[in-house]
Amino acid sequence: MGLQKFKASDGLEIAYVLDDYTDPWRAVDTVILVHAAMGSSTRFYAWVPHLAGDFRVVRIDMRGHGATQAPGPDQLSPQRLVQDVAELADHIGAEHFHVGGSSAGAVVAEKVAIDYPQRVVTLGAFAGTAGIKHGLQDQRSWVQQIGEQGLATFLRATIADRVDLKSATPGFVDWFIAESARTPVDVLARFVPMMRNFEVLDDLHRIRCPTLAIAPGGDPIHKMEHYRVLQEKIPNCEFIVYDGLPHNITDAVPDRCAEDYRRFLLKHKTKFTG
Amino acid sequence: MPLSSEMQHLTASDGLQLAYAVDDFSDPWGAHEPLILIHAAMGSSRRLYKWVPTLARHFRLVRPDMRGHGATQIPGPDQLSLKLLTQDTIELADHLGLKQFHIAGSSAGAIVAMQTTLDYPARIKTLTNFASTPGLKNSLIDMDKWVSHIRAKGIRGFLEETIEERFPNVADRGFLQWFVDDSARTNVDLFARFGPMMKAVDFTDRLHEIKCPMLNVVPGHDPLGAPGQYEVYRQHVPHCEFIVYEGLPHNITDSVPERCAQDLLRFLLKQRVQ
Repeated sequence: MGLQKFKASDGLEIAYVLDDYTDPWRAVDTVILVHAAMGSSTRFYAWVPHLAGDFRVVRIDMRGHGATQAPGPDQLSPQRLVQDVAELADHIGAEHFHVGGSSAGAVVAEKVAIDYPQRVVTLGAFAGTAGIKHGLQDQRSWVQQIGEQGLATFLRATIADRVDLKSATPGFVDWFIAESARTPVDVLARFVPMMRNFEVLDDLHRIRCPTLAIAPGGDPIHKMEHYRVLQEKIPNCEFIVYDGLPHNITDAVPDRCAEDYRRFLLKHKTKFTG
Repeated sequence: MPLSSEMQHLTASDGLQLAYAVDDFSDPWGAHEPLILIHAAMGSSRRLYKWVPTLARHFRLVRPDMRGHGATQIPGPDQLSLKLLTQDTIELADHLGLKQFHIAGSSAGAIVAMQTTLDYPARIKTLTNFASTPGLKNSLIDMDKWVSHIRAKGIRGFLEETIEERFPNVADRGFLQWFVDDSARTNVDLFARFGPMMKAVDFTDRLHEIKCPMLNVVPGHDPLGAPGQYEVYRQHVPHCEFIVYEGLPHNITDSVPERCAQDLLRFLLKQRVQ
């Protein structure tokens, strides 16, 4: 339940939450969840009860996010984000693990699957493309707007890109904005340009593990073809579209995401464990 | 595998240190409606781990360790009574700032839950009883015999002898071993006080005072309860739902925990709508 911390190999302190309600006498698989930009481990709260009865669920706070320290000038790169996931797996004693991510976190998860093929059992990509460079919006303009207006105002103005306002409750929207707005603006100003240069398109075909990709069907931030590349390039990919929903499916319909993920994980859990 | 809930502590008004766990994956903007769930004799909050994923997505789930059990201190000579166990529940609720809450218990824990409802009716929204009579006075348990067996053979020896009667429906050896190991952590001297204390209790003539909605889930084949003993709830409690798990002996909360949690969730969500 509680937040825990470990030191990454470059000295930065990384926070994570581990939830485990599995049978104490059984060995179980580990699932590592990687949140989106402007997010944190907290944003996966609703996923935990769906998954943690069958799996050890570990939620990382990415560099500069949540309770993890802000990275120094040389401490923020795609490679570091990927390595943090592997080092967290080492820290909790998970030689093999499932990795799932949301949006920017999905790109990180994809790269983890590419770089650590022996360790990654399955990949889950929720609202995940091969990188955000080809998005319909230039995220660098986000940074400018955020700098001018503040993060909360920016998110409030663009909330329809992220959440289906017809079905979302006001409580959820307010919470989502308040939670996202905790991200330090100066971290975002470095994080977003870095993500723009983080692309795994040419390596997707190397992902051999079973993959679940779930795409929002009504997303103004990315074209469907940019989600479809996962299905096209990854040999063993189950691809699901949530019709009509904007970008942030992992926040707006967390129970649906987590139930689809649970079904997928149970189908592909390792033979090492019960 | 370690269960992940972090234990928290408070000091009861008589100075005893009480331990409890809180699990809450309900929506952050929601009401965080509290549910206090109390384990059975020879148990602890840990034994209810499998209930957490089902209930904690909808409720703020609070699991105390009763006096002398789990991580709660062993009470001194004058520190063990049903009144004090009941008071602990209320002091825990006060400590957490809960004006009103749902309460549920398993076996001896249900006796505490029922007594709490009788003594503090204004605090209780609903009451759920798993596998308990209104006190053990009329049960078929020969407590003197239990205590002398436990003194002679230890809790482990006592349970190993009776494990087949408790769990004829469970084939998983891992579970049976864990149940014995976990129960065997109970202090023998404490049980020698706790068991007889519960054996002296009978509040059948006060059941009509229970005005809140009550769910009773009872084992259909319980060698520990006299036939018809569970019927008293149906006769005396005005708002009473009654479910029988046909063919199952006493320990339903351990042998079919997910079924119990599902029935409890359904009952609680129904009350929420009304």
